[in-house]
Amino acid sequence: MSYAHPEVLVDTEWVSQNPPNENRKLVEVDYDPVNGYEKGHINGASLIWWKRDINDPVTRDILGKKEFEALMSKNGITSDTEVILYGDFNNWFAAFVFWVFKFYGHENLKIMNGGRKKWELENRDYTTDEPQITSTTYNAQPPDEGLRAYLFDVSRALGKEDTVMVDVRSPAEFSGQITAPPEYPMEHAQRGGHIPSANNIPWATAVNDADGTFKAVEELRQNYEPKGVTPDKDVICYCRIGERSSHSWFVLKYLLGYPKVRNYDGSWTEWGNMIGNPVEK
Amino acid sequence: MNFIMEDKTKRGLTVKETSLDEKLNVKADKGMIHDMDGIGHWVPIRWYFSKDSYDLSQVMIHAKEMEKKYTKLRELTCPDD
Repeated sequence: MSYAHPEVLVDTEWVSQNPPNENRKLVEVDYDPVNGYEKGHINGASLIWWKRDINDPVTRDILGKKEFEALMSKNGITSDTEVILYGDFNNWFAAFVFWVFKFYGHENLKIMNGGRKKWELENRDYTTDEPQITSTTYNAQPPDEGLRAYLFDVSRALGKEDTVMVDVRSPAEFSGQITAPPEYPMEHAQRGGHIPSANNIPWATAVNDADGTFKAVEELRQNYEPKGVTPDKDVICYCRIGERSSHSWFVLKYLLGYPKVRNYDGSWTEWGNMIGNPVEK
Repeated sequence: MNFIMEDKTKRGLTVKETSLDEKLNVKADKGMIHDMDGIGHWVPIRWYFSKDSYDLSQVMIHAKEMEKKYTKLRELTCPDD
């Protein structure tokens, strides 16, 4: 049995055999480009820095349509370009950027399975040379709000039987033992715990430990279905800042083919900071 | 044998490597903290001062320096006045 949309994944070998060209762009997406892209990246890859390029610089929000078009132009991408994303932190931020690309309607989009982790495990080459890119004109689609859950969507979904919430954080975050690991002191919330009735299915349960690649389809089904996360439900994924949840969003929507999956990118740093929001521990 | 000085504000941080802290010129356990922009910075968690080269009073100088640094930070973020 294969994934519902196998066309959204390529493996490291394919990337090494199919370098970027005029119609195919390779983009590394990093949370920490200083310790990632700048130290070395796959030949021909450009950089999308999650913080600088994908977020509004002032308001907490993803970038607007015009800014997305400018980002595509800067990366030499047109509406028809085949784009392959990969990155640091087990592709969490590559999955977030995949979600943003889909939000603005980019069609020909793939993720390199395993990201930097697998590429490095295979001792494949990196370069520090940055590619020469000719800017393009890009026309984005209107935002597909069906992919995104907002605070009010989550509030409205509380107690609804046809909506299921998937909390993809670690069990320690889910139980409220911690609000963020010490490595991320900027990502805390005032309250620990989880959204009432959410299922704790950590993002990592969808990947193979050894190399960070996605598990096979049957294993993925076994990971979600027994917990009530089934294709007939309206599924909302969340984590702390919305990046790990976009990884699980990708799994549910593209690898398992669930028709209605949304990413709540406000996630726990929004929910756990709002006065009066119900919290379960 | 070593005197061990520990930065308690780094509690819980995973030790990723043990290497020379060039500032104090002693071996230190180090972890990584990510800033607002996501950039990871190596930070010492605990320092190992060899008893052959250091006595307690020398270590205390560094400990007091650390205390002073955090007092300054507290005053900056939560001033009394």
